[in-house]
Amino acid sequence: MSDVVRPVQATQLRFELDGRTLTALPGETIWQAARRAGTTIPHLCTREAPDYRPGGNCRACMVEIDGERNLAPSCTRQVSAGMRVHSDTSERALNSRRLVMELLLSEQPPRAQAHDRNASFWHWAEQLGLQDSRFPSRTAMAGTAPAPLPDRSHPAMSVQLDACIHCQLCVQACRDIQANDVIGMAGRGAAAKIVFDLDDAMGDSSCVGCGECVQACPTGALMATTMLTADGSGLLATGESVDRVVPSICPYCGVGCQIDYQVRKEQIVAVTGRNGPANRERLCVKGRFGFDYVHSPQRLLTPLIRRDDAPKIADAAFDPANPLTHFREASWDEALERAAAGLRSIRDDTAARRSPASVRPSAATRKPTSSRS
Amino acid sequence: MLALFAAPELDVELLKELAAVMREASICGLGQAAPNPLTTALTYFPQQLTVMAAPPLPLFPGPSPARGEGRLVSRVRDFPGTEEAR
Repeated sequence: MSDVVRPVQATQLRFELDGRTLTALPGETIWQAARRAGTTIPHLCTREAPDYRPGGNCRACMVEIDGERNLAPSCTRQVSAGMRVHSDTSERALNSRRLVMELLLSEQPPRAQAHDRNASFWHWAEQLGLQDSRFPSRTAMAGTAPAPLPDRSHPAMSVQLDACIHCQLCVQACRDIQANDVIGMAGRGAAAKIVFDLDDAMGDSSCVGCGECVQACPTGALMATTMLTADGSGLLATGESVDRVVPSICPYCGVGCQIDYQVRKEQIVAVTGRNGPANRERLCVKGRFGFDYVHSPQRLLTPLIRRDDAPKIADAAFDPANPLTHFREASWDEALERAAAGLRSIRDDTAARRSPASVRPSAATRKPTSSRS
Repeated sequence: MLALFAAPELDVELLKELAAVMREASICGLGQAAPNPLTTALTYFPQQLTVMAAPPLPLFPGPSPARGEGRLVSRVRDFPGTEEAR
């Protein structure tokens, strides 16, 4: 949106936020206008990412608007001219945000045992000055269902609905952003919950494993299994971040999705989607979860040239983990020269025999190859 | 809110806070009006709520008011304990 050049016209709306006069574009919400002005109002069910729309259901972004009886969710309320909005200066709004967070906190595992201790949920709890809740946990009450057990049926993702706050970002991610429509809400009232297909285990559902829901989840209810320890708690301690984030391009197909490698202790632990022109933060299963080959002991790190004493035959005894029985390491210069010499001899040989061309180049956007026909 | 009622001692202040936030921040009118029974009870029958740990008092002690015998609100003052709560 920001790269679109908008003509400066009288269509900008003036409004007031905490005593500051701001301008909003037509159709812009209070939350968006505040964000452009450098103020981020707490939010859980709204995700600042391309193509997501605000949820309006978590009630963590409530603001007070002069002349209105009730508070309004700033993420869905559009600015109108002359509106006077009170966010951080409204005790009513702050009380409401804090109490909503307290209610959500009462249903969460404590942060020390949280699946994702650095989820945006904990960031906003901290911003609102909350560590624990005055409300008893609903699961502690007699006659209510116990907290749902984790679902580890999927090879790449873990589902921990005890941390779910029903913000429905994953529903939007699955249905609207990736158009897979696997995740939905089922049940009513206190029994409402997130389900895959007809309440199947995630690994048995029609999930294609794009991981968009993992990227969208604000609590750690949906996580890449690589970000969890064996006991289900988060890999990262409270306040810990990965050591490095390396921007890159997905190594698989030719679309060229932009990605961020999350590197911890010199190991890739996760991949997130960058806002590239081809993918707008989306990824598919390969780009998101197919990174373990990078650390495979069988991965080639230098060019190899076949040893003279290991002629090319169908050899079942070849062990890819130990290629030096048949190959020797070489420099790039030597390897390229060797390959070029092979191609040259084919070309010269063909010319001498006046036969049709026998070398055919072909190229893919990501993996240049040549083949001999 | 139900969990708060199940607690041995009623946290009236927290209940009032919760009621206020439900009224102000709910998406629709159903949620906004949902705490009304609680706030009404806290306003007119506070002693009934605060002594819940003891055996519950009958809501209408003695013979029930005869039909047409004035509005309910006016009769509330006759209930034991209401005076000092006000």
